[in-house]
Amino acid sequence: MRDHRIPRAAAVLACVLAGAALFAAPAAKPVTLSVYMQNDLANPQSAYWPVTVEAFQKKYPEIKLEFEYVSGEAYHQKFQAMAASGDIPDLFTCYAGARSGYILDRGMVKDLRPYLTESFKKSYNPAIWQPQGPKGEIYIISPNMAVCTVVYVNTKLQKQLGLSNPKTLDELVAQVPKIRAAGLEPLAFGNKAQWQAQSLLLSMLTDRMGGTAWFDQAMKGQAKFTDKPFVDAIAVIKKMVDTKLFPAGVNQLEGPQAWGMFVQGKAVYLLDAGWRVSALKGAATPEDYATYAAIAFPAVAGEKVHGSSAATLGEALAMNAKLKGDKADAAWKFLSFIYGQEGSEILMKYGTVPTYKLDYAKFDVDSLNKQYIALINSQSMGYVIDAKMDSEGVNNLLNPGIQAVMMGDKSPAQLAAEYEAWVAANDSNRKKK
Amino acid sequence: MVNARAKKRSYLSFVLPAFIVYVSIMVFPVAFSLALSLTKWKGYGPIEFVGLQNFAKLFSDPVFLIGLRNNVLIVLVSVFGQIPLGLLLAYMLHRRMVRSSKTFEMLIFLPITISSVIVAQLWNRVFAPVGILPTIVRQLTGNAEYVMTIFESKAFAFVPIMFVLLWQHTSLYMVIFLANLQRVPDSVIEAAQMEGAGEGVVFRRIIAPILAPVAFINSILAISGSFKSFDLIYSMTGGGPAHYTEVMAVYMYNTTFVFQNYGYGSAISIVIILFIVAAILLTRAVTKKLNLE
Repeated sequence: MRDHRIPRAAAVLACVLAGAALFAAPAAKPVTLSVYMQNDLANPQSAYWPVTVEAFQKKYPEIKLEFEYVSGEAYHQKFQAMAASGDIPDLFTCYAGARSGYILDRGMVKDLRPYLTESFKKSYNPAIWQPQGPKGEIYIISPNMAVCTVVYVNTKLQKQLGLSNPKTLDELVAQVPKIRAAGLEPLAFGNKAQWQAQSLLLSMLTDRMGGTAWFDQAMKGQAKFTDKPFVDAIAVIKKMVDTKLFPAGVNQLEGPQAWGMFVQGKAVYLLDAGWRVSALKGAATPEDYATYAAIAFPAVAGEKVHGSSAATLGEALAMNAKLKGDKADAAWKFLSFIYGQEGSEILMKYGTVPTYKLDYAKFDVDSLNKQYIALINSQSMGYVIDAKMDSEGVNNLLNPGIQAVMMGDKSPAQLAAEYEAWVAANDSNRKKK
Repeated sequence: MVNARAKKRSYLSFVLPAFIVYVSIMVFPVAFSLALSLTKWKGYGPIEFVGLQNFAKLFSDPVFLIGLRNNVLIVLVSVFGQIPLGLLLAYMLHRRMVRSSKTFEMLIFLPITISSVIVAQLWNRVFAPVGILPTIVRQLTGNAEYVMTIFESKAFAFVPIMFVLLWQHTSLYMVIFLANLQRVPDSVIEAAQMEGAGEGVVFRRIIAPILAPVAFINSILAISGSFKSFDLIYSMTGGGPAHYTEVMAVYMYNTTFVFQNYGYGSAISIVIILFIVAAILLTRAVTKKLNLE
């Protein structure tokens, strides 16, 4: 006789399971997102990224991400070709300004405002919610502010030489003979790549001399780049060269060579951006790193804005304007995770201060980072010129022009006149109605 | 009749594939570039026809003129530096004027086998303010602030790059000359020497006539290569400081792909092509006149 108990039990079990499946919450539908990202994973500053992605995948296993990483200028070249064909990925790196004009102007980037509730926005530094498009669009949630001017101090060398933090540029210049006599460089700075003198120095000096209100007017053509604030700002750079603040051959020195000089204890001060903190931490010995301090660029004669720096929104991933339904929801989950609390905490752990407001007491923030956070929270921020003005005028005329001024081949007034002429004839800011 | 048609068909079947490939990868891009050079276009959005405006602007553009000057300097260093030096080295090695000629041959040939990007990085580490050469000079002279100020000179900033080009490319011409020298039978030279011909006569009467067509080919290679120079300069200086080491190809690249000024960038590329064609025609005319071909 056959035993019917086992099949019967199996049938009962199958019914129970089927019933459970019917009443259980439906499993999330798998979604695949293509992500085209400007990132160099070999760069130590990108170490936070694989950790962020892993944390996201753990939380949302149903969202599959297909990454393509391209770094530097090649990123834009390939993306321009994609944009021209009208076929762009679901998510991609985007800047909040002219640098991404080739996709922003074509309406290919989703305006995130429908997703941005007031409670969501409150968690961030309000500076990132400045309009990014002509109708107030917000395309990116910038994870960090790119603060472009910070003076780093080697306090050990400073003490050895009996120096103190300079309050004014003239005080800094007065320290030069003593520092040079000790066989050291006063202010490490490299400008071989040309953009540094404009982004890290001229932008801040222009803000000090004229403020953002003057710059807004200059962008619109209501003020001119031949005006005193801009000419004076360029003249300060020339003065810094003439007084031998910078290393000899500053225009032949690459950025890493300049901050390498500082890390090797060959320079008392370093002029660099805020994002250099993590690189300094990685390169210096812990003992040396503990002696570094971050201060504001000293006061400049004739300045109207005191103690300011210059900053722009860091780039971030943006959404394809065509995304709808499940894909759009998944993309928003991804963006709000990587730029939200979880992602920002990872970023903070890797040494970058995020725009998301965090309780810094929770983190083991080192002394330089603490000083940096305190510094940027105490400063007003001017514009970074290359984030506001058209790339061709800045990169083809202004940046090389600053080098020519530094080398004595052009006067500040001459460069200002040449730049104003270019802007008046070509810059998109002057063509806006 | 049928035969003629079949002949035509078979002729076309042989010629058409190559013709289509040639048109699509050579003629079309040049024609497209030519058409773009007459426009103002950002790579997207409306295309504005501007006629010859881009070409007119070129010759009053100081950056383009610096690039043109530097390209001419590269042509000069190639034709009057790399080729004669390559010939001299090849002749010395072929005539065994130095010991261990095979080792020298290998050493001289080495630079051309290295990627230009690596060559640029290598020489940057020699010339940079924190590089080997300024460090040695600082040690020797006691001048703690010594740097190679030649890089900051509007007139001479390109000279170190010319030196690197000479260092890197001479070996290519040396190898081409050497390969052709090996075709000259030793017996011919020996016979001349038995007749009392010295080294100078052997070179002038036997070697030079044989190598003249090779020199012509090398000149064409040198001129076309010089006008296209990009990788070494882009990696070494990027055209800086202050555009002093700019060349036309780097300027074209930045204008087109970085500043998205496709019309003006295309005009530069058309001018580069015209310069190459003109220089090659001139070389042909000169060599024909001197009866060197």
